[in-house]
Amino acid sequence: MSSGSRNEELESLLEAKYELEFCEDGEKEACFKAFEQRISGILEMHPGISRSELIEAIGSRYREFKSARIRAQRRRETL
Amino acid sequence: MPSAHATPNLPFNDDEFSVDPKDWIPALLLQADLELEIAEKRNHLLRRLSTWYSLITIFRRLERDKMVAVDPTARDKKYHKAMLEFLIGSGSILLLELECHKQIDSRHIGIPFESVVAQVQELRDDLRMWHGDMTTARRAQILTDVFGLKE
Repeated sequence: MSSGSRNEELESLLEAKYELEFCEDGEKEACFKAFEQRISGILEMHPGISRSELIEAIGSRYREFKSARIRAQRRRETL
Repeated sequence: MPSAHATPNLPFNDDEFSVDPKDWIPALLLQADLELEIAEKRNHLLRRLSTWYSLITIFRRLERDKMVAVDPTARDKKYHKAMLEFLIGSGSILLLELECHKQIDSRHIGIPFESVVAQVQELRDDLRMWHGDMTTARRAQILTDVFGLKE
């Protein structure tokens, strides 16, 4: 698998986490399942990594992702 | 007769906060309220669930303003971690009680049981993401192996 497609995989995972965090309460279960599906898919390919390790490893990337989204949203609101 | 301005029973020393910004106090007041309810074992499960969700809303707003939009201070990090741990603990208790009271359906307040389970797991993940103790080397190894990234 190329690093480009693996980066896309990370972007998709961060997007799924963001949707999970910001979805309406009524959508929480569906968003959680979508996020878990992505996590499970990755862990199947990497049996030496636990779920909690994967979550922790992407933590700083997710913070950057969320920060960029929030800044962009605030810029749009001020326009 | 107690004064009309009696000091509330808060889970912290009031003196500690007299010179600090009041940013975390609304969340702590709500936390104190929730802790009191749990301690008294009142049977208002749905109301407590609703309060828990309100606290999460306040927590997320503070997280966005104090932890994401700007570089967090050491104090912000401590409160963020403590509040996350509290939300996970109280959410876990609410889940246990919801399981024990099958006649109480959380859908009555628009929240399916499975959504509460998902919410608690999300908070657990957030605790790991923000405050985990993974070594830099292990993080770099995972990001490289899984996503082909360098830290």
